[in-house]
Amino acid sequence: MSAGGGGQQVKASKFGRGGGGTQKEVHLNLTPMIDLMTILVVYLVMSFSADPATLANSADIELSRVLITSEKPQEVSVISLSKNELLLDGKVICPVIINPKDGYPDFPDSVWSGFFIEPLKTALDKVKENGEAIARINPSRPFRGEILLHADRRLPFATLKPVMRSAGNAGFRQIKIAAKGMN
Amino acid sequence: MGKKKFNVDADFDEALNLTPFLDVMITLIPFLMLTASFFTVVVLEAKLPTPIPPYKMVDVKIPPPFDLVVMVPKDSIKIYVNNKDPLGPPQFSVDCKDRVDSSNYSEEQIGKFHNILVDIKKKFPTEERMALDPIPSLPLEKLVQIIDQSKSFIATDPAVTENPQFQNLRLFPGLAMKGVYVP
Repeated sequence: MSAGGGGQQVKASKFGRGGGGTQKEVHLNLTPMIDLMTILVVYLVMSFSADPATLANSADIELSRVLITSEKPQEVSVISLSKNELLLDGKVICPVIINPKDGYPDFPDSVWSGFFIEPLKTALDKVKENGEAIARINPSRPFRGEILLHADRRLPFATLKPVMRSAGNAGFRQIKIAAKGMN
Repeated sequence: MGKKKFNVDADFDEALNLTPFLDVMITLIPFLMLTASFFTVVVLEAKLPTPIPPYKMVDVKIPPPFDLVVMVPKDSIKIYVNNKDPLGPPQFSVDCKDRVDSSNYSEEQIGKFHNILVDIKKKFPTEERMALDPIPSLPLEKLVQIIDQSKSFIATDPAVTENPQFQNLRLFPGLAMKGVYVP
């Protein structure tokens, strides 16, 4: 982009501040800066993503890196699991604590119901009900039982297991794990 | 009657005021830069095992015609193919002891694992199933690396370049998580 006016006029004294000498008009050429900014804004707007995995991104979740996979996430419910809390579609389900027995991140005793995390299972049951209701009205959007797991790369499998188990029990057997694509 | 002389330069003398435009740009660029994600989010599918209903149990072949199990203990990756003795030594193993950063595998280690799977696929080109059995302490990043390398061929794999048959095949996409039984 080239600005029609070219540049802003700045009156500067030849002899410095308050010199009172002969004034010379210096044209500050803003065109390159505007060109650069326009390109930058267009690039950033294009790369601005609104996919569910990015929306749920938070500072304490660092994704794993993969080399081969290039499958993009679909619009599904997102379970976010950090070292501090468990969320479903951005809503806090329960906190994550450190288990004193093995030192792994775990869930408080109050949320356990057998092998499952009860608040997560209840929330996922509602998501499934909604998904099935949508599928009845609109057969082109069937309920596929998919869920996106957006978890920190350092979390051990022991912490992920009850989350996967609760999701599976609620009818979400296709677990999709979010990761950073490197290609 | 004298002709009115237009001063073309005087008509366009006013400079284009770029200040509001620059204000918007300067506000927009930091916002977009802070919210932009400079990596692609991809997803890896990990199916959960589905219990077989009792009436279908008669059709189940024990042992199955093809049984590929990847066990992931702390310092290695063990691969069992049609192993009759589950407690016996694995047919293939990748040693992963020499690693300062224990949160992920080195490219060499994970590449070796991928090459073993490619060799197995050469022998069983129609098979797609694989069971993954990680230990509880396995970090998610290692799990994700294993899933990533198990699903697809790499374009540079000798099997793909030498044999066109493999170009349309995937490695072991029917990967299911062991130990996450969902009743």
